[in-house]
Amino acid sequence: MTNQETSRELSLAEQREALLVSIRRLRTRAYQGMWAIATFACVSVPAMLSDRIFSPLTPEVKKMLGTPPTSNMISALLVVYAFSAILLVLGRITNSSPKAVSFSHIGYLTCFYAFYYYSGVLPENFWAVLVAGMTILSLESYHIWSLSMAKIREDEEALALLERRMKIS
Amino acid sequence: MFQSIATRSIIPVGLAVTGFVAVCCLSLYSIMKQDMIDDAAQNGRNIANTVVLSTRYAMLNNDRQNLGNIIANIGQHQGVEHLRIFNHDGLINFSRNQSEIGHKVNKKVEGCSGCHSGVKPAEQLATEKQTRRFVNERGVEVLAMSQPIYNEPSCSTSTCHYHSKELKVLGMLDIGLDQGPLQNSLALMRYRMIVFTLMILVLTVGGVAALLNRSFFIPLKKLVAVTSIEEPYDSEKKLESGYGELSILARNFHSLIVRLNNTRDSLDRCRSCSKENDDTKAN
Repeated sequence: MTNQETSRELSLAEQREALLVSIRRLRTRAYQGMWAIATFACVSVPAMLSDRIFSPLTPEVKKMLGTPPTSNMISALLVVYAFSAILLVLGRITNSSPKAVSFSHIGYLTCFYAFYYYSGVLPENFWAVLVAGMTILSLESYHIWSLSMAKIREDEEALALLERRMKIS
Repeated sequence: MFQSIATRSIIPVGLAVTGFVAVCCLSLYSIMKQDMIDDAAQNGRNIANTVVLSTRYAMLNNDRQNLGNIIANIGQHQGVEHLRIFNHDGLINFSRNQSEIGHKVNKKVEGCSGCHSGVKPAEQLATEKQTRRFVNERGVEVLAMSQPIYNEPSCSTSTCHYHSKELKVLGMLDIGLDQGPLQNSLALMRYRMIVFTLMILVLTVGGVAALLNRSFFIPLKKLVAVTSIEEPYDSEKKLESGYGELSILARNFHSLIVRLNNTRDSLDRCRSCSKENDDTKAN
């Protein structure tokens, strides 16, 4: 076996290894959205049971925090937020943007829970926040999953081709 | 299933539309529910105010029999769950329910805690804090309003009976209204909104799906069938025009195959010609 052939085979092996690493990374990334949904579900459980597990805010705390926003104002903000977030995700789907699932949405949604709780209307508005969160995170997860799966298929085809070439050589 | 273009096109549209419409409907329902409860509370406060004004003359004259009759008669009105007047010390003097007359009210309940949470009771209370909602012992959801009966100059200077000038609040009128009709209206509104939302969803997602199917998936299936390698190629088999870019793609594919067939025929002819020439030379 000549030096040239050895280096070519090494390069093929390296390429194969790189493809396998890429497939593994993509598989992890494809299910990243599930983690975001699971985290949001975990945050939502105490919010759903808020009237049972959290004691009402004391007048001192309420005085310190000031006048809470009205529930109508928070609901209007939630609708605007959901609309913008869905539009952004749809834009990313159109552009096939590989941006990862943004966990910041969980933070924003938790703020909505907190504001509703502070205004004393969380039980009435819990389902609206939950559905908004699940929609945004599911769309993001689906986008990342489908994008990763398409890339995995590409890599698997390249890997199969590479393995055929390795067998021939 | 998730790899087909149809699924990949419908899922994001369906999810986005369904989610957003659901969020809007839930928020709208919550806002409308709050508005209806606020209206009911305002209505209750008006009734309480009317009762206080109706009983004012009887109170000034210390006409307890007349006062008791007014309370009993208004209390019989459909939808009034309780109606009572209690004094500064919380002792119930007049009530629709005769059995509770002479008993003291619980100052720790929500309607009382607004004024009685501190060491010294508050003399003025915000309007929205005069309202409370609870389920009574009969399992009826009640919206209750407490209307303070303030001391007036005519009360402290009356000849028939006397209240000290320092006493700001003489007593309270407490009225509780049955929330059943309001809950029924809310339930009806909820069902109507669910039906309306489902209709919007079916129309939106169904419309998008139908349009995509008509203008994209059907021609795509035909294109796949035309270009399928399993089928023996029929040069006459083409995708009809009218499908835009997909028809152009099918025509290009068709012309490519025609050119390929022509080249193959030419090559076959050349081969047969050269074979004939070779045979002639050999003879």
